[in-house]
Amino acid sequence: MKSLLKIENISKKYPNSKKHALFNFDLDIFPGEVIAIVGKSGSGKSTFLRCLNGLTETSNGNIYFKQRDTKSMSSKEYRKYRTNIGFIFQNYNLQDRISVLDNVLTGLLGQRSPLMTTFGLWSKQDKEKAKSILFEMGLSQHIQKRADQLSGGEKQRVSIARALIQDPKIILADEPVASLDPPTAKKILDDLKTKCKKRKIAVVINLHDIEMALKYSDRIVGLRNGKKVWDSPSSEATKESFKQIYQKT
Amino acid sequence: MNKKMTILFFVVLFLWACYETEVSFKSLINGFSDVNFFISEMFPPDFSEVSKVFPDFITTLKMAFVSTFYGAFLAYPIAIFAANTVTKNKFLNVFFRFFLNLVRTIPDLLLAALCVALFGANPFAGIIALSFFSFGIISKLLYESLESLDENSFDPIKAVGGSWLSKIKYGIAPAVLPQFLSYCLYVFEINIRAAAIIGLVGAGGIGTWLNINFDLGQYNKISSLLLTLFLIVAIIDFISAKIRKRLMGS
Repeated sequence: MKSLLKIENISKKYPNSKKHALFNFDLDIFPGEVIAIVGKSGSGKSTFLRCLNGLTETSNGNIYFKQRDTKSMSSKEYRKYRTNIGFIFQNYNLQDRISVLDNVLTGLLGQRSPLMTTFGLWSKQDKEKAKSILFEMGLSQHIQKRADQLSGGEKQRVSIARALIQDPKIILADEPVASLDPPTAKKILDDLKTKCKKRKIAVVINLHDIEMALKYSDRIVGLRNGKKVWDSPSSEATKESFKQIYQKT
Repeated sequence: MNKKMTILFFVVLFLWACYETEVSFKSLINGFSDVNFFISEMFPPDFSEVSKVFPDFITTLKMAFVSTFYGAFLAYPIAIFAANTVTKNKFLNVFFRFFLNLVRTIPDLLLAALCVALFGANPFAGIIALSFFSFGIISKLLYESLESLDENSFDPIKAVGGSWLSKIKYGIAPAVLPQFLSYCLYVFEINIRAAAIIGLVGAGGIGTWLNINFDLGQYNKISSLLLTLFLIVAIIDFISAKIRKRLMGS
């Protein structure tokens, strides 16, 4: 099977930092699989996800999307590439002062004419699509509410809806449930997984909770000090493997 | 030691500035005798003409409103170009910041006099002058608000491949809207007073009547106009403060 996203030897060193946040990292992401990235805080998980869609620039290495090097893309092509990737943030990163519906529609900003969307002109199909995804996420009664009126769990559902409306090939989720209580976290991850499996979207998810990582992923990738120290199917991961990932340096 | 030197420096600076500008208690006390004259002339206020010039009060309010609107309309895009969180172009940032500083250097009364010379002694001249004045303040305040925005809050727009315009509409505009409206209201408050003052140089509104009565020595009429203006400003300040508090609170 051909990989959807091929990550080759990427490194990242932030200015004013002596250490690499990410070092010679390789990974192939295949369509429809769920990969959990695990590691201590500061191990480079967030940096890795942010490098994949260019929110953080890599210092070295290449990323290929469907065999095409993302570095060779023009800025317009790169924006197009980004429309294939949904991103879910730990702190939801919704626009608090606009409606839930509008927040979901922002997921389409890269695919619609900037001039139309700047005047808030969305097609009927787009609005219907947003509503149906919100319905699917169990948020139909909140559609017209302002985003800041929602609870944490509801906000994260909105941000999943915002990612799903893109019809992405991949969803990157950076600690999506770290700010939520365990029952809500479980429900959100259940939902995220089923909705993505149904649509055959690949998911790369940063998790610090080992139990959750084992339960929701097909594959576990361990990061320590910016380096990949583990990569195996979740079924093969044992207590020993986690010891190796989390061991003190 | 350092602290003492600093205090000494400011004391010397103060005394030198007083000396150079010929500030003295003597002239202040001499001036007070004239104040007595003015006050006795001003009271009791003569309200007989207030109803007659009331339309000019309304003109002053209209001038303040329209010029706040023009100023805000111009300030919005310029502040966007000046703020490096929004526009990632050093040249544009520096250019527009320089332009903003330039606009703010021109005193409003001078601007009004210039506009009267250009457009004649009418409210339009006043509106143009006040629009510049409003533009200067709003753009400065807004640009500072934009600079203080957390750049990570634009990540979702960037992540979905959104354009620069999308970033402004969905990332920036909702985030700074309360501040922006609050600045506009604040400038509207200032503009009412400023509109009355620039009327002195002939730019229309109630200031024209202040000027005429001053020239005629009818101080009791001036006091009635000032008291009416005070009442109007107080009411608008009160309402505007309430609205601003709600905007910033939510």
